[in-house]
Amino acid sequence: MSTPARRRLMRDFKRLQQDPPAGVSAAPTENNIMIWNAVIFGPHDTPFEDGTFKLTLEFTEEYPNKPPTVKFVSKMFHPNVYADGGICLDILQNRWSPTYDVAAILTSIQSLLDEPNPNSPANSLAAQLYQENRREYEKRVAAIVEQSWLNFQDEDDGEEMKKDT
Amino acid sequence: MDMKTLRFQNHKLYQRLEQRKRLEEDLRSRIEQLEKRQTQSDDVLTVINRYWNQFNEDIRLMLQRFDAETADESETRNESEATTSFLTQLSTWDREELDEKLVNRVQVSKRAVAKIVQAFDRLHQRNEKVARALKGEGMEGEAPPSLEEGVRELNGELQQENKNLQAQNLSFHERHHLMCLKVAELEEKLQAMDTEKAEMQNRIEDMEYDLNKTRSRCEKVETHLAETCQKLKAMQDDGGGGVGNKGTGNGVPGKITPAITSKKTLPSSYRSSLICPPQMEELASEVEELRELSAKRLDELEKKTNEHKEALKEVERLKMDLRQLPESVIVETTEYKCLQSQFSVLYNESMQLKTQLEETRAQLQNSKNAHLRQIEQMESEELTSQKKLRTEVIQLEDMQAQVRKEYEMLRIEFEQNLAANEQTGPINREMRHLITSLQNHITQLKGEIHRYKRKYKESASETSKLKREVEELHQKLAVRQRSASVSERQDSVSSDRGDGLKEQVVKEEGSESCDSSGPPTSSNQQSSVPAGAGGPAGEDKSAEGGIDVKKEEGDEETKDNEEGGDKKDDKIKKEVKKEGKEGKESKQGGAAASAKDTRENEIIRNLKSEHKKAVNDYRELKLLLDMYKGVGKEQRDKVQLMAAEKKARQEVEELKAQVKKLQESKREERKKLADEEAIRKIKQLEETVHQLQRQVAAQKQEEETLLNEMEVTGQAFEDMQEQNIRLIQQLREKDDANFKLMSERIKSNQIHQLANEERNVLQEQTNTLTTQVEAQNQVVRKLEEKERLLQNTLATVEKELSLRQQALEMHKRKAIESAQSAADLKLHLEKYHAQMKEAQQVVAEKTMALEQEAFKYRRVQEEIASLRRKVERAKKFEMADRADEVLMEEIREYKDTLTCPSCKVKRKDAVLVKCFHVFCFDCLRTRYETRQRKCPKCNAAFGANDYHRLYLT
Repeated sequence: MSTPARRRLMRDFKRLQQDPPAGVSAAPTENNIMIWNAVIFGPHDTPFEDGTFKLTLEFTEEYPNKPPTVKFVSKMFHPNVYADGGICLDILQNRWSPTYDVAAILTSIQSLLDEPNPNSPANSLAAQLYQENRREYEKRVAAIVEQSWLNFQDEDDGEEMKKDT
Repeated sequence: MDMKTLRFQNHKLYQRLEQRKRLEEDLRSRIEQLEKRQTQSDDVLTVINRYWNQFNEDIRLMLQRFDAETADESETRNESEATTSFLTQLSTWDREELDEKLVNRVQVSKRAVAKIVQAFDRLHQRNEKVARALKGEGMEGEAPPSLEEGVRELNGELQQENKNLQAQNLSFHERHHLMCLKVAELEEKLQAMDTEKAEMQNRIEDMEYDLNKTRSRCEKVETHLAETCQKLKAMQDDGGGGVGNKGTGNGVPGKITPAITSKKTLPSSYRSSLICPPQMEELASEVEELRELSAKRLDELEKKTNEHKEALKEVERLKMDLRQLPESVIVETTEYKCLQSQFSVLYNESMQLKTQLEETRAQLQNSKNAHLRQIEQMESEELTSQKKLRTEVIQLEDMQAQVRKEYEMLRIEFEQNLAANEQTGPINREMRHLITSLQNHITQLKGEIHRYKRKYKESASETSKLKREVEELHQKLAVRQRSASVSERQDSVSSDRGDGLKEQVVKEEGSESCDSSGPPTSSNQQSSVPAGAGGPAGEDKSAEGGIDVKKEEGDEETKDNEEGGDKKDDKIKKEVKKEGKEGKESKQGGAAASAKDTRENEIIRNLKSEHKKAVNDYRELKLLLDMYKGVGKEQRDKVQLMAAEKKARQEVEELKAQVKKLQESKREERKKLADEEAIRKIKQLEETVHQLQRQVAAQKQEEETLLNEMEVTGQAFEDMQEQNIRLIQQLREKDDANFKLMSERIKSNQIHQLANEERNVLQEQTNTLTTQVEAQNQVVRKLEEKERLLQNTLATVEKELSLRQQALEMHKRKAIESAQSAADLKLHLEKYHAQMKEAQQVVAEKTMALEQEAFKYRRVQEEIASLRRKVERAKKFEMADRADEVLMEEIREYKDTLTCPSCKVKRKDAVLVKCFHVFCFDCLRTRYETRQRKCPKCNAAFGANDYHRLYLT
């Protein structure tokens, strides 16, 4: 069971717990260490502020030599995020380095939220609005942020109900 | 993690709730304001309604007063209803309904007003009528003479009124104009105001958005402030309560609500009083600094705005200058000159191109004309050639038809000739049969001739034998001559007689010689008589034999062998018998032989002469034979036969003569000799003569028969020959006819061939003509293609011309633009000068700012120094309390530095020689094996020999 990838993931998780980075949290699923759930809080002073965005990270046995596949579970409105939640980020594709760990990935995604690259758009509408009509873009992002709360509230309610029962 | 997120969300939701509360309060206040406004507006509305109703009622009253007829009962009713329940209706109606009702009301009131106006008009008319009536009454009442005056007065008044009205009208017109102008101005203003309003609305929206943003930020800042205040409080509490209260850091959220309330209620100064004094001082100083900075920034901003305004003004001024820029300035610039030169060059080029184009057009037209002419020529030539061809073809066809006819004629002739030939065929065959039969006949005759020749040869051989015998006889004569001299040798000679035929012959001759010599010699009569008796007989016989032989020779050629052969044999037998008798006689008369030598010599001479004669005959015969051989065989045969006949006749005559002689000699001898023996002998001889005569007669008969046959055969032969000649002539004629026919046929064939050749030649000519036509067609096509090409080139040239013209225009435009750009550049230069000045100013300001910054930097450095001191203090505190934790932290850092940055699990034990980054060996090997041969840190490529073990211990 203790393949290099798994050992590395264990070490990443330990590191995350010991030294948690700001605005980011992640944990592996209970039964599979190769699949993680993560939450990114919208960075301050950005349209994404106060948003709580859920993600999943799927690692392979080739980790850390190959990047994990990272996807947004919550609905997202961002020039570099596809409709299915896939992220167009260079360090998750060809600029990947094994020195990156989970914290680095999540912080870089967090920083991507406010600094999109409209030159390689995954969501053309978002890219267009970002470049031409910033106010509308911010409105749409605010709507997404509120939706992220609602989703979380629903989930939380569900969890609370479970706890109560 | 979920807990964290929940906490975070909780926090956020709390903030949102507060915001919402605030918003609610705002909205409530607004609602109140709006309610107040509504009440006010309701009041106003009721007032308006009241007035309106009053107005309506007034109008109704007026109408009733003026004219009861015009008033409408229904309207009054409506109005009364409307007045009673206006407000209630207002409250119940919707907005649209309200609008409709209001419109209705307005219409109603309008109608009422219109009616009032009508009524007023009517009143006015009535007034006028009344006035006229009054005046009329007045005029009537005064005096008639005053009527004219009155009219005049009235007229003058009316004229004055008219003037006044005109003046008023003019004034109204002026006013109307003025008003129109004002209205237009006002409309323009209104539009401007509308646009401004729209802009303002946009701005308001922007401002509202910004305001919202700033409000949210403000709130956030406030919340942060509250949090910080709480933290500060906690810290203060901690400071007051000592280190023991550190654990209560997590309990802070419980105190949030009082903190917020305090923030809301208390002013910032009051809050600052809560903070510890040193921090308060620091904050105050910072605030002061910030204020100073902000003041300075404000000043700078104002300056900048002023500069901006100035710059704008300058720009406008420069624009104006540019508009009024004189042309001379533009003309002087080098760019303008360059452009002018370029323009002139281009213009020249365009002119050249134009001329070229015109030339090419002229050429093209010329070529087109030439082409058309060529085409026409070609067509005319083609037509003529086609006509010629047709005529030639027709002629050739006629020729062909004629030739065919001729050919058919010739064929018919040929067939007729063939039929004629077929008819002549059987005649030919008959002729051939005849010829073949004649040839067969001739061959048969030839065979006979051969046989006769053979026989002749045999006879020749016999003659040669006879000659030999003659020689022998000569020899014997010589011997006898000797014996005559000796006379004793008779016995030996007589003994020799019995030997053979030759000796007998010699005895015959001897007897003959005796016969011939007998008569003259009386002494040797007795001995010589028998001999002589035998002699003439022998002579006769021998002569006969010679004649026979000659006859036979002649007959041999005309008649059968057998006859001749039989006769010969008979004669030979007879000779043998006679010789035998003569031999007996010679035996008897042998004694007197010696006396007879002289006579024998004479006999020999006679014999010799005879022999010579025979030889001559023989030679003649031979010559004849040769002659005959040379001449045609039939003629030869004929001639030979004729000759033989003649000879035979001659011989027959000779023989007759001899026979007469012999008979005479016989009578003489009989007279002379009376001996019995002689008589017997004579009798015998007579018998023999008879026999011979019989034989002669038989031979004569035979001769005659032969002659007859010969004649018959000759006639038949002549007939045959004639027939032959005729047939040959016929054949020749037929051959000639055949030849003619053949020649005709050949000629016809040749004509046919010639016609065919002519036909072929004509066909070739037609082919060549067709090929020529095709070639000409091709030429025409080529010319058409050329024409197309030329047209295309013309089009292209025209396009080029248009392009050139466009380019020319473009260049013109460019020239103008460049002139403008020159002006712009001038302006730019001036601008740059101004900017230079500005920049110098800015530099001066920047130097000022730098000095200020340096001052600030010094201050900040001082602050840093103070903070460092503080930090050292704090560290000392921490060191004193939990050195272990600090050490642990350090240890962790060192461990991190020692672990592989790639897997972050193993120790560093390998180095990349390319970039000297250190990793664990396994990571580097896996990267090498999975072909990701780049440094995880710096992406530098590495090879198999670029990573090595590293031993840190």
